[in-house]
Amino acid sequence: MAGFEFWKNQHAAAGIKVVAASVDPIEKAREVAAGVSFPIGYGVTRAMADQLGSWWEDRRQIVQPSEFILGADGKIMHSSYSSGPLARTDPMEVIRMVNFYEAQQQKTLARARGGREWESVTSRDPGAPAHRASARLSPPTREPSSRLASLAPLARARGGREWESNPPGTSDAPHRV
Amino acid sequence: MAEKLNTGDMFPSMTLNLVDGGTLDLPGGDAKYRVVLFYRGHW
Repeated sequence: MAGFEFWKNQHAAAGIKVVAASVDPIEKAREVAAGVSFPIGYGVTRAMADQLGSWWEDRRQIVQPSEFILGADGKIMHSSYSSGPLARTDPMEVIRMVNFYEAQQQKTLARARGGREWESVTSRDPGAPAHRASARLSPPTREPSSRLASLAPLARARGGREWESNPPGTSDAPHRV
Repeated sequence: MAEKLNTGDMFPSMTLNLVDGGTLDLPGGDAKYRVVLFYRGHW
């Protein structure tokens, strides 16, 4: 809980909202709420625990740790259940997971736009300073053209034949030495 | 104990009573991502 409080700014920046709840009565839950800035719930019932599929301890009548990451659609992105006090969700792991998810979504969107990631790759290679510098300092290699060959079918699919006649690297003088 | 919730399942509809006097309906749609922590509490 303290960890989620510690990382609250990073969570907010990533669009993550946190809520925590337990079987505690309100007066005990208030003690927890005093130490955090996110909402704290109280009075979680056995029926709620059953809805969640949580482990339930009969002796003390408590819900065992059950932690979820939800998307905006209310669907579960990740669930975690413990039968006892060990193994809590790491607040930083939540950020990493969300960042990974966002990156995957960006890739999917790029593909849906018609392979624009291809344009960024091709436009980056010829102008990359590191690439030009290494070309001047070391013997020419076939790496750029072999890479081009492997990508040529994609270029043809896009109608980018100009690429074949003037590929990056091969038009650069040091490459023809 | 009911079945555990898996990735891709809809979070069950429930209302949490909050210590500030309000309630929070889950899963709700007011957050891009929502972390829901059920903890053992004081015992």
